[in-house]
Amino acid sequence: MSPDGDLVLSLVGGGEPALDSGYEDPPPRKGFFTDTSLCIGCKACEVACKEWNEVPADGGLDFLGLSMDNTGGLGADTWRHVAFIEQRKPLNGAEANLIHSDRDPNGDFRWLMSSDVCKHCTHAACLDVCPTGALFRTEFGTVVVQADVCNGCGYCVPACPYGVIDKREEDGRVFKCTLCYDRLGEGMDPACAKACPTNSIQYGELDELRERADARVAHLRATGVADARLYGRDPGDGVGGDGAFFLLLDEPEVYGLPPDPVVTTRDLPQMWRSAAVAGVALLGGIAAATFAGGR
Amino acid sequence: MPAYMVSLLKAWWGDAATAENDFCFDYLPRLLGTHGTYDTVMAQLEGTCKGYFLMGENPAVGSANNRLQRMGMANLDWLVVRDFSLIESATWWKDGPEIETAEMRTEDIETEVFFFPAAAHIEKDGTFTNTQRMLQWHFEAQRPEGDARSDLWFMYHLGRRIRERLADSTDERDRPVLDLTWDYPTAGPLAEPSAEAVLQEINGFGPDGAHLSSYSQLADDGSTSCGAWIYCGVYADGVNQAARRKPRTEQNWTGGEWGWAWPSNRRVLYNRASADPEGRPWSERKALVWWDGDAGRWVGHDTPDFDLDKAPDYRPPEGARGPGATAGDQPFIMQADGLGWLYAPAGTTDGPLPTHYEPQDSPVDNALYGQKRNPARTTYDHPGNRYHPSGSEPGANVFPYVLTTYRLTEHFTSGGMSRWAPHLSELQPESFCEVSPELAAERGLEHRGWATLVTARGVVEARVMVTDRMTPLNVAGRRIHQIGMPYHWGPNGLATGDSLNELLSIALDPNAHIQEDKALSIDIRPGRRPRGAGRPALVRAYQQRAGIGADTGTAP
Amino acid sequence: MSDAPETGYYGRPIVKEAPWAAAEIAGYLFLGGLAGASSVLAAGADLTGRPALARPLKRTAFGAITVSLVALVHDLGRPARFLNMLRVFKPTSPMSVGVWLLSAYAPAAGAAAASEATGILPAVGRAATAGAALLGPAVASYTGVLLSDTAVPAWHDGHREMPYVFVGSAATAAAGTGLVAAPLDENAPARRLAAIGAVAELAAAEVMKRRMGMVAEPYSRGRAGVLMHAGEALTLLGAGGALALGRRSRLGAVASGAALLAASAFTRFGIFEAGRQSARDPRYVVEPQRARRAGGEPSGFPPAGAG
Repeated sequence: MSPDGDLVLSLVGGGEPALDSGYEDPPPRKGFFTDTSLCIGCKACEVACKEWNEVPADGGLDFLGLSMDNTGGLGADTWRHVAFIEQRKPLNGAEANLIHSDRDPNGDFRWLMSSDVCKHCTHAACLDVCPTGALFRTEFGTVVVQADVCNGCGYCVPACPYGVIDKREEDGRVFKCTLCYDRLGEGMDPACAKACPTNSIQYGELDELRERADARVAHLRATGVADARLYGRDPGDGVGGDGAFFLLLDEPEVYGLPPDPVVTTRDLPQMWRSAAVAGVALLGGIAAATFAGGR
Repeated sequence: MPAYMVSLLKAWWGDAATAENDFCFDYLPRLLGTHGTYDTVMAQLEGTCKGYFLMGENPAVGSANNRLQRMGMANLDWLVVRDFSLIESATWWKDGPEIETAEMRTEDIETEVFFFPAAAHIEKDGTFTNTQRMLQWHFEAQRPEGDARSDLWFMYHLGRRIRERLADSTDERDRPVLDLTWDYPTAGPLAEPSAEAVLQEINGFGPDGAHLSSYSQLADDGSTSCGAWIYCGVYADGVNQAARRKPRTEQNWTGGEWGWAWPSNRRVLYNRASADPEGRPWSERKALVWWDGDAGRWVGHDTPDFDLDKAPDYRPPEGARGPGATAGDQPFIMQADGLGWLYAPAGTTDGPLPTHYEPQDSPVDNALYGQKRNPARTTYDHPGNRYHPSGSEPGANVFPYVLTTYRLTEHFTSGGMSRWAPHLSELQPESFCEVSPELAAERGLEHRGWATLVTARGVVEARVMVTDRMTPLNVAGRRIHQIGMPYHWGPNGLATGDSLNELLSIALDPNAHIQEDKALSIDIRPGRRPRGAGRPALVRAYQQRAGIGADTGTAP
Repeated sequence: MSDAPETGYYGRPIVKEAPWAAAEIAGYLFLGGLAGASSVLAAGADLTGRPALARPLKRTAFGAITVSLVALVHDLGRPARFLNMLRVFKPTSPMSVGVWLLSAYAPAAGAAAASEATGILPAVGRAATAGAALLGPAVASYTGVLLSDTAVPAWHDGHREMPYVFVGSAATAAAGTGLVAAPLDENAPARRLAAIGAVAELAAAEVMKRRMGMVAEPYSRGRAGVLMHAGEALTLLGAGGALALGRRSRLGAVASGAALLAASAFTRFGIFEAGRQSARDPRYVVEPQRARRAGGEPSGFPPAGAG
């Protein structure tokens, strides 16, 4: 193991977030598997989340016209966001028959829909950089902000590789999906998973969700959906795998997701080394300027 | 049938309804016509309809030809609106489109408008009845706030007050109101009438005052009462059957002990057809009812929709009439011959065979017939309800495109509820129309820009969504563009916009008198619509260009 | 319709900009660096008998760090809760490290300046000066980690060089202070530091931008580009002026010093703005990551080479 790997792991732990955070005998890790091949774009998840968590309207009554998406993206006041992408591509042999004479005669068309959410990363940059300890790891392996501790420094906002967490300007603090921590504690499903009518949003033990997802993507590929892929499932990826991972039907960047997200903390040991050497260099440079030569 | 009618009259007029007075049959108002909502609007415009209750309805947005709706309301003596919010049909007199264009002035409108805030469904007892015919009772979870009251409270206390006003009247005309059974118990600080008492009245009572359990118990001699025969049984055994909530894990798959379905808690109509001619279920997994030979009756998971003791092998004798004329293997008991029909030779005004007609306003002729439109449709002659020339009629090209209307997930009908809810309003905040890239290019429309849509009835503006999901149509060698538009918007609430139904004419299908609101011809231009007097002026200009008059589009 | 994957989801940002006011945080980057380097230079001035150089540097360090603390607290969404940052000490959070660092440095800088100004407790003042001088380099360099330890492309991708850019900028700012405030016969260290700092900073910045590839674009475009170029120009002007005029001309020294101070400020604001611009355009997230993915370069965790 490289020296960096040792140091990093000692800083942020291995792949069992709850255990690494000091819980003794925590329950199995919980998360989401969002199978976007089932999403019908109903936005029940967006509304259920807002109703349960009393998330305010996100202020915009503007027609964004991103297909049927007028929300835009995740933020302090949007914890589930449904994306819509219209593409001039076929979907697994379906005949869309949307004939536009200037293009191919088949009228290929497909409409991707996907409910985005906080990834509850195994290695969560937001949690790593929080200077108050407001962001913490729950016993379920999820990442939650304690609103009574957060002082609104906003450091977590640019740290997140997915651009999830954000500051509520009028309030001053940051907010994001809690994976319905209050509901999990009562043995209930998160509000979005409960509301989803197609079981696109699946909640459960992460290990089991991963198995289910592997089978699902294999099945889709076997039936001709070559584009089907999992995103955030791999514990070896740049954030150690997501607690909330996805089945996508195109490249992640099409959905506004980073193609190869990395937790910034991974490079932190190198940064501290640079800072240390730079500090010494400053000392040395000023010493040289002070002591070398005469007047 | 007489048993149902007499029982109904006994429910409404109680002891006053006797065999001698035909059980107060003459108290019932008579039908003088079709009395549909659009006939009512015309009656308002004529001045014969003087009052209007709108309870959870918003015709200034939700009905075809919004302007005619508002003009009708402006001609009333009084208007009562009950809703959660100040919907468009409640405020048109001060901020409606005609005020902005100065076609009407608030001070000239003589209608007295009353607004009563309404209690929401969690703030009152009652039932939900869905298209599955199932009633589910709901209980008041919290008291309504402020002045909000349930519809039941409103109707009961309105009736009570009217009866108190008329108490000393000797006018025969007031007897129907005074003789009503209007004695529901009330409770609580709001004097809320008991919804369960109403449900029991609907269920009906027998001669001994006991709750009836089946419509077969209804008599035509005045010994039974029942507010609606199809609901007889909803309070059987004195139990609110609609409030039952046995989980599906504790009963058979038909779920008959969750809620109550009319009639007789029959969950699947014609369920005799779920068994073969010998009376055995076609599928064990989907079994509903079956013949028990030993017991000599039909049994099963569901309430049998069949004579309980008619054996599968029963064949009616010559000359049999009534229920005895259908065989034991003929499930469609509401049909005279017990058979299911794919084709109804009688009963429709225009039938019998389905066919194709063009909509009232269409850019094309009927490719199937010389007869363009349904000859039996209902049209209304009013300067505010002019139709377009269609197909090869001169002037049709003034409205060269097709508008098709639809709904979105995020809003509900006229938006009277959804456009006031922040979490829904932000999901679909503005009215928009959908056009193909080809139409956008032809008319200079930009994605997220504005478009103005014009018909002979009105002009509205909407944001533009350019999308591949809309395609040009190839009709008889001609390229015709279509515009798609959801119809949920109006000027009131959080998510506001022009109402699509400003554009629609009133033209009704001959059988159900439903307005034709799904397809019409239209013009579209880039940019926002005119304000003030320019708005009706633009409509008039289009009418003139198209040569539109009172006869246009009215020919059968 | 979304056509090109490189444009992400309708060209909307993927990562989020830091919700910080430029005046407060870029301002702090400048003032914090100025303070840290000034404390070191002040100690050197003390050790080489240059009280007229030491004095303004100590006062500058104290003033700059005080204004910094006010700006930092004010920038919080809930300023009244600033003490919550003392609940924990997290090495994974440069901001946490910084809070504790400043908690030690600021009193030291304050005691050093106070003792110098009043003459009271000179021994304490000497110890405080030494303490501030030892902590100063950390104060000047850790902010480079603060910016880099985010997902902001133009900040994170420069993480190897950013601390060097920052200490170089801090050094020129301190040098500028010395040039402005000290008499000609005591400003030699400042003149020399101006040259050393300018070379270090400009070289480090150049290396940083080259290593970033296309992610370096914001540093030369738009508002960030204007600020960066102004910073570079003023750095060269100030350092050149310091070397050419700083020994003999008071006016030349002051002008050079002012140019260096302005240069340091422009550079910090330019880097801050470049980060903003790189967060706003999804290309800076998508293109390098697509290239990584396509090239099979592992972005695993732990980093490559882990067992």
